[in-house]
Amino acid sequence: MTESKRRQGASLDIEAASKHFGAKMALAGVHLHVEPGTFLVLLGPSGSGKTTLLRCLAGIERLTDGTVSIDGQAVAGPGLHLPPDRRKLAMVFQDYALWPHMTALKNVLFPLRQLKVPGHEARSRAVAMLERVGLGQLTERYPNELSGGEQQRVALARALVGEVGLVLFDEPLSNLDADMREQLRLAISTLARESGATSVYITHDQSEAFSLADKVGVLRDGRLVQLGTPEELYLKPASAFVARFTGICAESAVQVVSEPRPTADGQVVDVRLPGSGAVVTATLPRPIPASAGARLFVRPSAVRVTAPGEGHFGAEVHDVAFAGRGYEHALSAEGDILLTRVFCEQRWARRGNVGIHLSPEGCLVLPAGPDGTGAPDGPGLPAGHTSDLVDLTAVPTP
Amino acid sequence: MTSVPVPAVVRRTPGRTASLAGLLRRSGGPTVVWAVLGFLVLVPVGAFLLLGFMPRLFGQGTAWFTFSNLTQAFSGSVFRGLFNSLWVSVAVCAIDLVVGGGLAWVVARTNVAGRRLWPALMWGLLLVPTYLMAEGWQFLLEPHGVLYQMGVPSLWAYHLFFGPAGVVYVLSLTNAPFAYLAIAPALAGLGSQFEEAARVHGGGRLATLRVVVPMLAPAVLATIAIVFAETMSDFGVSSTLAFQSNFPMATYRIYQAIDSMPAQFGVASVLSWMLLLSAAVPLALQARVTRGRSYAILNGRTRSATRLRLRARARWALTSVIGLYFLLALGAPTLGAIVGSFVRNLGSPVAPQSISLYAYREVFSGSQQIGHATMEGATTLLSPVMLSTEMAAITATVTAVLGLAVARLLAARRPGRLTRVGDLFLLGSIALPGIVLGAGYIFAFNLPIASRFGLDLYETLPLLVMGYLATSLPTQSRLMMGPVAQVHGSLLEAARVHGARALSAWRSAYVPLVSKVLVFAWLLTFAKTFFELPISQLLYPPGEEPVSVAINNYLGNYHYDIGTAMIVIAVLAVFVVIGVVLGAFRLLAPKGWQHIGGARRSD
Repeated sequence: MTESKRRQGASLDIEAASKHFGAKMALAGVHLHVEPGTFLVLLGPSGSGKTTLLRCLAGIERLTDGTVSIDGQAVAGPGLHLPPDRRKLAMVFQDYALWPHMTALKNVLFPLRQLKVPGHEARSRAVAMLERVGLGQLTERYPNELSGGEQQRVALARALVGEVGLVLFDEPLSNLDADMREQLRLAISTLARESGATSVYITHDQSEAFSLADKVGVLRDGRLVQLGTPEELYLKPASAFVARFTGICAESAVQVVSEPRPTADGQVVDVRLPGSGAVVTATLPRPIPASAGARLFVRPSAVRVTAPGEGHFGAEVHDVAFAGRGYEHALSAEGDILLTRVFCEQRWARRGNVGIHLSPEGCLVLPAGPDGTGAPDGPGLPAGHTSDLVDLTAVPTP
Repeated sequence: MTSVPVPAVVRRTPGRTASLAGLLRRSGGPTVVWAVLGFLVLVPVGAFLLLGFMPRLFGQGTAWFTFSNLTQAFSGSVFRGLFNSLWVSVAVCAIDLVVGGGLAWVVARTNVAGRRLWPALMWGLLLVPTYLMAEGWQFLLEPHGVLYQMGVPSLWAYHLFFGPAGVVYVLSLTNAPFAYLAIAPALAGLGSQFEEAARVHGGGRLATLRVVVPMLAPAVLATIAIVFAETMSDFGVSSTLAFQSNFPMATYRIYQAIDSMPAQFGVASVLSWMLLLSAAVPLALQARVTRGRSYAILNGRTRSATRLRLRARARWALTSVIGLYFLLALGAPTLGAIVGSFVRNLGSPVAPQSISLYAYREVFSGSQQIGHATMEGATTLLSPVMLSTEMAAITATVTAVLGLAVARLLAARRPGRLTRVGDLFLLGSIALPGIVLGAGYIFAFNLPIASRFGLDLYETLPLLVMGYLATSLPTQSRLMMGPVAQVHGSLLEAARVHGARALSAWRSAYVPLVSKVLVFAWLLTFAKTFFELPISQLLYPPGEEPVSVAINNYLGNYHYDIGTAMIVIAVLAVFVVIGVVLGAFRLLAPKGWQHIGGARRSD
């Protein structure tokens, strides 16, 4: 697709979206605004409400409360539920949802037929799209004659061929093996952006989310708890939950021993670790209320293994595993601190001693909750805080 | 954020989702569907069953509650009929477990020849009505019958056949497919790993068998439940062979009670209770044994069992035994019927001039009056065939459409309470003997209240079709439920998301996926309805005999040649319809529709 043919993506507005299944609350007042052409990934564990939100956007499920607008047109709201076929969107399903009685070509032709694209043009567009996803030779194959990866490529072609403004992706890589995931991730990233469409993609895989997204929204218990760029989420998580869900290798209760100091990217503070009493400098994404304790979260990239006696504190090698370019270590330090997935090109022997150096950029100090394990998430992002990091101290905690 | 204006035209649009089940639910669909089924089955049969103990409720006596009908049912020949049905059912169960189970094992686990043919013949056997099987054998074995004419001494077999042994023999043959079809899938799913595990942990052949056989318990219990219920409720043999052998059976006793003057509805009702309760015993046994235990043996890693490689001589001996079985089951009655249709006055000494096409000419021309009272209204002798074709086609079409709706409701991911109750009701309806249903219809639609509601349906063709529907709908709905449940909801959702409206999505993304199921449900219903006997016998309007009734009347009045010619023509008519429908599907259905169910490519 050439630059001139690019279609403008649709904007997406979700206000106070709620969904109940009987007594179970799947969505609890989600607010979200997505700019046209954005690749948004909704990240969350099982049961966080991401699939429900996506199905509500598609019109497959009906919202209990709240509104959804696509490109300025309300599609769901009080007394309103536009059926999926009138929402001008497309979707890639987790189980592909290819119609088994249609060939790959006919599956891809389907959206074009609904758009009343003339026969010859529709065919050439469908064939071109199948060629774009690498299936130009398999157009006449039926789904059961294709491998899982090929089937998902057909599903991708079907979603993109209609050049709609909004494309939804429901964990499209979850049924594929590692190699195929990487290939298809690249295809989705490239083709979705080329199409110019706004994309909403759900996954529970943090690395998949970070590698695809312009923006990532983290969902928990039916609430959107943070929305930002991958870098914002990684460097300035809004809560312990977000920090944990986006990848840490260690965490511990700590004592703040200095006043916050400004840096080019924000603020840092010195904290004392339990056990060893070592003092390390860590990033302070936001102020810690005086009444709350502090907790340190360590990203894997912040840990450097040194010779014994060097670094901030010592640790014993608990386990070591070969990881291609080097080794991943599990280390235990004083104060019941367990560091996992610590990468080092050098192999350190089991039960041997090493030194640990922590860099401030990957060490995050966040408020501890009542039980000392990290502050609970707030009640979700309110309207007007849809694209920036939220200061949870401004939001009353339950 | 600015508020988004909502177009007025959109506000009026009622909410719709991609799910048809959802559509049905919102429109009160389940209520309508279950109400239709309730009207077809529950109301007439319920009223009829209540009558046995509460005759005054229906103006049939003076007592509000009485056991007098029960006392009558447990006396003399009425009780003998029930007793005979019970022991015959037990015997048939035992035989079919061995025969059907044995054949299933041989096909699944040995290299016997014809492993594709035998299951197909089992399906063929399933379609043969019991009365046709009984009568086919009758023509073979009669004094001066087909075997006699061929010079085969068969008098000993005649004496054996016309009695309990013949009844058990015919019912064992016709019910064997139920045993086979219940046990074969269980054996296919029982991979070799369980046997291998027993063997590697020191189990000998016998110990391995002791470990593995209990895993087939659900299939064995299902076989017992189905075969027992089918045998108890059979009317085809009890009204032909058993009746002629002076061997009373329960279903024929019910028929006699209704057919007597005055009709003994009370006795028929109590006998129906007995029939239903006795069919419920094996079902309860099955539920009790399997409750709280898991017999799940299928998983993604199940490997096919290795086949026992028989030596050439053993292989051919086994193949011959199976071939002989099907020759007796299908070949012999077919031969009896075909030969019988060409011989005038079968049962008397045959001269060369007795062999003719006379019977076929009579059936097609209808010029000769047979002289039997029930024949008088018939315009031609072929008209029963035409009538049954019409009735069966209507029944099959309505059953396919309604059955699909019911199957969708049953297969819903979150079935409502009404659906769960409806499912239980359907299961009960499947076990309901046709004779009980027919009796219920006669009774209920003869009540003055039916007339008051404008339901003057007694002795009309619509009532006959309703009766057929009441028997076919529960069975077909349950049969369709499996394939329908396999159609993932996302396929319909995908069509809606990619721009198809509700009807268009249904037509383009759902109907093709269930098209084969619909075609086979239609064909199965058609064939079963075409030859259906008990409901036809009880509900046909005067002068409009279905083919099954006509055949029985001709044969019962010793017009063997015309009766057998009609059997041959009827069977051919069913084959023609099956051929035409399958051929039309093959020619007219898009290639993709026929592709459904093709083998999956392994990655």
